[in-house]
Amino acid sequence: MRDILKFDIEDNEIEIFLQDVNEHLEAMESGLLRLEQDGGEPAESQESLQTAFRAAHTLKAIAAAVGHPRMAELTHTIENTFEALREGWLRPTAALIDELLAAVDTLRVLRDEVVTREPSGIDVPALIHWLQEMLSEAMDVSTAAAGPQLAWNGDLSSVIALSEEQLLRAQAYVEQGWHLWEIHLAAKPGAFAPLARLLQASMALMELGEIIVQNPAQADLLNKEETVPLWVILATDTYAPTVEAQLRDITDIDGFSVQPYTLNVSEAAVLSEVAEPVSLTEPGLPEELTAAPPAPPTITGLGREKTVRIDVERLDALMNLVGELVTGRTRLAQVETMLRNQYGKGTMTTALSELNSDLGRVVDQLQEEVMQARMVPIAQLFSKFPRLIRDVARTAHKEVDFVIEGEATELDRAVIELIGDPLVHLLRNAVDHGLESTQVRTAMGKAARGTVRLSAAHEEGNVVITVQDDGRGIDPAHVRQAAVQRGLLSEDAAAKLDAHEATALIFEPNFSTADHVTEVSGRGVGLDVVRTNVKRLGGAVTVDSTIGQGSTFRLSLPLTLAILQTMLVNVGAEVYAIPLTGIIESLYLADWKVSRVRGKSVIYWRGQALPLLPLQDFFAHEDGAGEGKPAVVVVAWGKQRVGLRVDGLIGKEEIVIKSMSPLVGNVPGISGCTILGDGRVALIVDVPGLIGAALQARRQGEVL
Amino acid sequence: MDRQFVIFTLADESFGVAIALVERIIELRSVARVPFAPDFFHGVVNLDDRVLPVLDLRKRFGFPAQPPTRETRLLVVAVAGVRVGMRVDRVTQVLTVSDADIEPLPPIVATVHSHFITGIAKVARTAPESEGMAQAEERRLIILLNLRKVLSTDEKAALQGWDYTLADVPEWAEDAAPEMLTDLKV
Repeated sequence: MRDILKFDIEDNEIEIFLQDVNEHLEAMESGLLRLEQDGGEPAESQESLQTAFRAAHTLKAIAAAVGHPRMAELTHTIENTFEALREGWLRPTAALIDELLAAVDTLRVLRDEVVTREPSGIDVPALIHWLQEMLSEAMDVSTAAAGPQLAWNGDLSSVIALSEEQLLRAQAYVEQGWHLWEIHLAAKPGAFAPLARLLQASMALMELGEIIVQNPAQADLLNKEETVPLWVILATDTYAPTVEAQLRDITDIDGFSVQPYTLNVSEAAVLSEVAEPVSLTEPGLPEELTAAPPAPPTITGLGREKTVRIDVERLDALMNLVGELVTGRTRLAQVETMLRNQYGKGTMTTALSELNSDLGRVVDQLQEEVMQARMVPIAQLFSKFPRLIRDVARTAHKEVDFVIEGEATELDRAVIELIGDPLVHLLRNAVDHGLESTQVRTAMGKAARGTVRLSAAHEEGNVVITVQDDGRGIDPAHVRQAAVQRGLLSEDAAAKLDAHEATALIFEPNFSTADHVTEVSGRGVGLDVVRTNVKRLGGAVTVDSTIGQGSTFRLSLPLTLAILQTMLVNVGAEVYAIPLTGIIESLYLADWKVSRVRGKSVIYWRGQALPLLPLQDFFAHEDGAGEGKPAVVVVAWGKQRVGLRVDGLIGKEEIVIKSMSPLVGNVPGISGCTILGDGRVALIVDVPGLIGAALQARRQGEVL
Repeated sequence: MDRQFVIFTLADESFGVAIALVERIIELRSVARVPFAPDFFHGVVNLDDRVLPVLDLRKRFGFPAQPPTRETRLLVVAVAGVRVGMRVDRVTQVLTVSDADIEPLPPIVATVHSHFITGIAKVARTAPESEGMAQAEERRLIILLNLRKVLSTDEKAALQGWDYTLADVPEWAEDAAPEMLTDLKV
């Protein structure tokens, strides 16, 4: 029988606990990675450390709150290490970062214990001990390096007890993660103006934080005549060595001691319940003195919460309902039109129209709001990747600069959830296969460090995510050869492909299995999975590559999954929905002259020959021409332009995407279906897929 | 033991499926055809704002196609969690059949692949229902279908040129397809 761990947490709180913990773990991790990256830049490192430190501090409190002492202690030790790094006693070496990252991983395991209630068997005390050893060694070295210690030989006992108000202030600082130091200090006997030295010391300490209490008080120091030792309780976010260094700079100091000061917590806690929150700024100090110390963290205490956490499922349910509402509104508009056609304009129909447009406005706004609520910055996902890149790079013995751009780009959380895996594939590939080894790069005259760039941006109603490396690029010749060897294509067919088309073969299923690909092109681990996942989202992926200069993978994704802006068209007796994001222009065929080029229909449009793809033939619908005026919908994917020949344009419509039954598999050129306002089912055209399939058919001399 | 079957006709032959598998019987409605689908895949329809795939059972069984009539119906069945509509010529009745009247394999099967069939029910002809059929027999035969086989497909011919994945339907767990499909083994 295994032990069952007990935690002070309800089952329904676990979700929130996990979210909180993950957030802080990620902050710690990204802080560490940034620290490693800009190790030489103290200012930036300070900021990274501050973030990591705060995350650790909060995490410690969470762990303690759920009754997970091992997790709390380990976090505490990590927090101390962050402190040591911030104070500069420890250098952020790769080895140290490794250890700390491993410690963060251990915290993840400990986090999971809360869910599984099973002990993970990790020897936390040993890990803590190890970290502490390292810390104390570092501290010793740093103290020794700083110069001779001025020992304090006097009485170490506290001079006076803290007043209620002082206790509260001290406690507030402790809650923010600051430290309390009890400082004893004496001026050299016979020094010139010893009291001035004490005042100087007191001011120096103020630069580090806030003095909770001191004896003698500052005003008294100016008036006193005989020398007395100075006693100070200092609240600061720095560690003892920094305090000591500050004091050492003052001349004519006989000796000092800096000891941690422990608050009588229970007393303070009781007090805080009855007392009003205390302002943390020292009243009555001259301006330059209050301005000098670093601003203490603001205490939010009574601040009102403006946000609410909401279950994702509830949000999804809300979105579905809004979707139904949108369909309903469209249906209502149709009923209105029918009524008007039947009964003409009258008070009733006019009232209905007004009602309808009012309702429409509200539905539009509601939809907008709900969509906004589902939007999250892509940083949520991107923040996981620096660690991935780092680990892959270390395993592959490559040096990589990882650049992230457009983290603030927002998109539907459902989309974010589903593109995680494809991006992991692409990034891993970029480092592992895309980038050359350092030696090769140097030999080629490239920068020794490779660069992998991950960026996100809004582009014409889509979100475009690119993964770019400056590595070796993809050789179309190798891809052709591999495709032929894999039996995907005949040699003739492969030879007919241009470089761009050949490169795109890496997305074909079966292309990438086994070692074959790595050996040939150095690419393609699971790229078909990437394409399938992206397509499932209604998006598409392309690659651009130049040999010797690198590759760029471009994922184009809809902002949201649930609702799509489309153009409805008649094809034979069927209705198809073409996503507006893929459409460049719609033309009436009658206005254009159709020419034949090598037996294929084209029109000359914007100075180029635009191949026409008759959708009715392509989809093999036998019925005669459908309703409407024959038209051409010009669609684009990447550089490809194709004119889709349809029987009629119905108009723009906002549709709710419905999942096809699992019975219906992957249909070329179709990404899903929807239910229209009149209750009919329409299929949604997958523009990239359709263009791809059409081009393939053209190569085989069939349709175009 | 008695079992209940929904009886329907295709090209004047009677078929039965276990009533437990039948969710609803609806009239034929506007169908969106799916390109590149096998011949017997009729298309998709809107059922309560959800998209329901529909099979044309006539084509599935190789009967000649026939335009819809006023009696054409969609039998909405759910097998192992997958809902499918089956287009049939006519739904005639719900019939209670005793196990004793079910024979495992038909002596002569004229039209339907034998692996679609779990058994043949021999039932007494009911008077009002017999119009248009030969009066000579005292009992009539009802072909009991194995829906699992009907809905899955390994027929290559039907799949050519399309990545059609009826076969990808989640494991047809035997226990999920109740009585008729499993109990009737000989």
